[in-house]
Amino acid sequence: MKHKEIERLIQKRLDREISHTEQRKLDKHLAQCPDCRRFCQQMMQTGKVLGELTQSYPKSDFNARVIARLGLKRRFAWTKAGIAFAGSWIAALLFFAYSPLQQQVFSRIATSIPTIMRLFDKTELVISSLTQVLSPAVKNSLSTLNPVVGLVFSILFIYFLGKALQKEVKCKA
Amino acid sequence: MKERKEITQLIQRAINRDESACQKILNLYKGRVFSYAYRMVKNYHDAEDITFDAFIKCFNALPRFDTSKSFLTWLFTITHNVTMDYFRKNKQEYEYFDERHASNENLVQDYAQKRRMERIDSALLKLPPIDRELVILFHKEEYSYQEISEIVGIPVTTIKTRLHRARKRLRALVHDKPKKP
Repeated sequence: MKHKEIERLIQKRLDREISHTEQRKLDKHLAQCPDCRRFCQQMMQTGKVLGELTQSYPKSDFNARVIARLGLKRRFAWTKAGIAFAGSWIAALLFFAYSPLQQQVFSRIATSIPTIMRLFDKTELVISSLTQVLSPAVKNSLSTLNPVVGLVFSILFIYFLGKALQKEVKCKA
Repeated sequence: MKERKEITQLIQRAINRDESACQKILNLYKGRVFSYAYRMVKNYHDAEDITFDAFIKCFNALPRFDTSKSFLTWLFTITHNVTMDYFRKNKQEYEYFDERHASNENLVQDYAQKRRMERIDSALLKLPPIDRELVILFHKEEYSYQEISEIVGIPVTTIKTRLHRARKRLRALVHDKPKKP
């Protein structure tokens, strides 16, 4: 087989277009011809190294510059989290202050599970103080249980929001 | 498939001026676009300018993007056009080797294993920009001939011929005392 033909087969191999028959032909020739073998090794090595070339990145402020040029307002993750927290907390307080659900329903659920009851006893003082500080306007209309439920809802909300933001950060990384 | 769906959703959000979607697109692709531009022009600031212009053009043209096609191929087509503008602006020949780029490089160097990548990187500069581009798109970005043809607007047969020649040239530049079979 001519060397020119071998070179064509090597190029086909690098093009990822070589057939099984051609591959066998090539292997057979390479086993006998040291010059072609060296040429093939060097070609394959060159192709391999090209695929492994490192990736470079622009400066760290690149995204901000693109976003600014596009005229999009940049909002940081913590701003979003802060807004979500404040919103959910106020919504929870108002919802439970004026909830049509009877307090007995919540009490019944809480008393049926001893762990919740114990937790409630421990946090009651803290929560009532917190409620008086945070929402003096509605403190009289609130029972101590309602803010607890509100707090639980807020924590759950923040937890899932945190998960969502974490996903975004992973994607950025 | 899932990845394509996610990209389509991201594009939809970016069209609606969603800043976080634009950020995600930038974070996903800026490395690849910048690396490509940097290998083409071998100047950090120019490569950054090309990447910047490519992304601005990309975001502005997003509403016209056909989501049935590959986003990255489309982005590379834009980057290719911006790079061509750069060559035109700097009066550099795209199809022929520019001596200014490689005059101070000693490209046939020692064969120390650890320096193989640097040698390839340097050897790439010895190629005309068009060949350099084809080598990067095929070997680094792993595009098919058809996709490369879409990006650079050259027939597949021409791409094949140029790429084969470029590979041989690279091998000769990188390996000491090259021998023809």
